[in-house]
Amino acid sequence: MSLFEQLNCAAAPTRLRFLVIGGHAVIEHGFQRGTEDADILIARDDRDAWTKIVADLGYKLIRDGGAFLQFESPEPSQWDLDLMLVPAETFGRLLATAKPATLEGVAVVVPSLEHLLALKIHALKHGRGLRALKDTTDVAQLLSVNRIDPKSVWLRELFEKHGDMELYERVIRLLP
Amino acid sequence: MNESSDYSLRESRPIYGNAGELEFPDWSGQLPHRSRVSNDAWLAYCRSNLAKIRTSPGYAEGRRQNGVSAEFRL
Repeated sequence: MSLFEQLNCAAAPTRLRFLVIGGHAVIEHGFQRGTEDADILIARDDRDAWTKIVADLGYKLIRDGGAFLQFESPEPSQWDLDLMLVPAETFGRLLATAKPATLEGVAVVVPSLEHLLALKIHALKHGRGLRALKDTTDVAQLLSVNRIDPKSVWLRELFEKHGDMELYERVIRLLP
Repeated sequence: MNESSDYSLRESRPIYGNAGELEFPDWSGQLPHRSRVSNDAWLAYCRSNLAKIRTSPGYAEGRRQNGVSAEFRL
């Protein structure tokens, strides 16, 4: 059974909601790149309920980073899982404009393209190590494949709010 | 690519109109258009490689660098 199907089934009785983010959402928005794990975004208030659900599925917590939790899959061929926690108000805003999608045959929701870019820009600003390379590529490719004008006012504002203009220039330089 | 997976990710139809029977592989988003490989086929391919990837040197270390500690707000 797909991980997303397991999460849907486990969350249904308590009406918990999640958005698929990370590589799966990037793929859904048109940039088909490799991914090694699944990332979901949840409301911070639901942390304990989600931690129990994921533990009941056999996942082992390997890192608690406060705003994110990393879990290891019990199965070698199943996705490892990262949970990103956001305030309830932010979660509601992301959910309100989320895009329905089907991943591995399962109905899920992913953030709108604008919100996915905001999440990626946030990760670019605050991420560590080599993930900056992946996030930079993701942003540039999402802009390119979705034919977003890199000089759009809303895009510059997104960088100002969630990143900075140095990051904006770095990404823009990658585009044709 | 095919050495590590049973999945074939070749384009299901030619990119160029006159290319006849030629098929081009998808190089993970590097084509100047949306991939014609379905997302599910692509994800199945990624999943088929998970067990192998996890035994790669540095995988666990790299994964620990993935998280972003700063809280995201809209």
